[in-house]
Amino acid sequence: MTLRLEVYIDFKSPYAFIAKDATYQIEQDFGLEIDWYPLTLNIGSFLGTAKKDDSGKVTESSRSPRQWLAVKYAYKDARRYAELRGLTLKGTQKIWDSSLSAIGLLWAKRHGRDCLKAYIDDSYDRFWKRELDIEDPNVIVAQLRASGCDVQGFEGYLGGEGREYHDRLQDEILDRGYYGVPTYVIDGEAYFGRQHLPRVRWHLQGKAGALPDIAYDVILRESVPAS
Amino acid sequence: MTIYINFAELPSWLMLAPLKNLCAEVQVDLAWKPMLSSLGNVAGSNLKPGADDPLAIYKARRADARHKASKRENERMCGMLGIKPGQGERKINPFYLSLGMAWLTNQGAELRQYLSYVETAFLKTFRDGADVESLFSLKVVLEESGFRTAGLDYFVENEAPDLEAAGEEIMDSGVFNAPAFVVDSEIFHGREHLPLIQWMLAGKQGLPPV
Repeated sequence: MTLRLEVYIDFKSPYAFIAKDATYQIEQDFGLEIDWYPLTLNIGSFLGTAKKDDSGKVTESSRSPRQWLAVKYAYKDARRYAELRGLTLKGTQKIWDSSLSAIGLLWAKRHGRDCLKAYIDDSYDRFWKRELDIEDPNVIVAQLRASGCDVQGFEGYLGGEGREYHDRLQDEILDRGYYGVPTYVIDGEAYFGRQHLPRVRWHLQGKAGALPDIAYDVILRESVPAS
Repeated sequence: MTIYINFAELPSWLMLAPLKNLCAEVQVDLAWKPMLSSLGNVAGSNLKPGADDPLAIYKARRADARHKASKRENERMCGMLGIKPGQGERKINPFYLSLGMAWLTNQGAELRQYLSYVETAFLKTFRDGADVESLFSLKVVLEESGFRTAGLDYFVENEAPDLEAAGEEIMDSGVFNAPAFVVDSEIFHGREHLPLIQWMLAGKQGLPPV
């Protein structure tokens, strides 16, 4: 039986960003094609909201000290792993609405794996370099075009069928019990976070032996050694 | 390396196996610190009840999803530890077990003694369902782990650290969940970081685990 791996991501999540290449490695190692889905987080609803100015000074915030503690740690944690990989991960200056880029992902899926991969890669890389306004529809169109997708009809999709599908999908995803990114799902079994990749591999290998523990233990073949 | 451990939570128990592997591979001095509480996953902490919250439905759906995922992860952890999910859901006050760790530190315990104590404490708590919330039960855990108890009463009465205050200091230092590891002032929350920590302690040779 061929197993299907679903992966749920959000472009505004630093943890989903740094998990991307380890996830591709699984796709390559197991000769499967990942079924990617957007899971658009409403971060303000569970971590409060905040805005920073260009100097990094907080200008608005509804976060509690504990929420700040968790948020600051999360960025620091993601950044140390990003740096080990030679990736740029600049902290965001506000909480983005990533639903347009998510609808772009759904559109890119219709145009084949190469378009989708190019769209995901470039969107992640540029967003975390602060080069991408993912709330601007024109930017999403440009991203899709640059990724090799036919954008004919995308404008209508973005405000119509695509938006409806995205919003419906978000409810369905939560009702299935998936609430964070990256989430990996095999045969209905969900694994939240890239620390679960040892378990994802174990599952894909037929669950032989004991369930492995969580760990960030992936050695990426294209990793950049630390200086 | 400083290790922060919470005796009320399974992840601190599960940390022992990879920690032992790390200690077998690299030379490292360990300091052990107990935590009486953890911040936990703050996701969901912004829940605001009330019909006027436009996100009320989303928050309720997300909370339900988190609950399902948490239940499933508890099942996985319990499976790995050889206990039933119901045993893993036990809630305890880790005060006396934490005091026991402070006692080991006071007595200059060695690594193998810490490991034995921590393992015994978790087995008594989650596998055996034993009393672990009294001075008497602490003595039982210490004795079963092979550690001395002579002088413990005096220590508890006169010398034990203020664990509540220490917990506040720990939180202020940026450590908010257990297990946590601090290596050269760098904080790592979660046992999943141990491969990277081992790579760091071993001199950062070869490609890093990421």
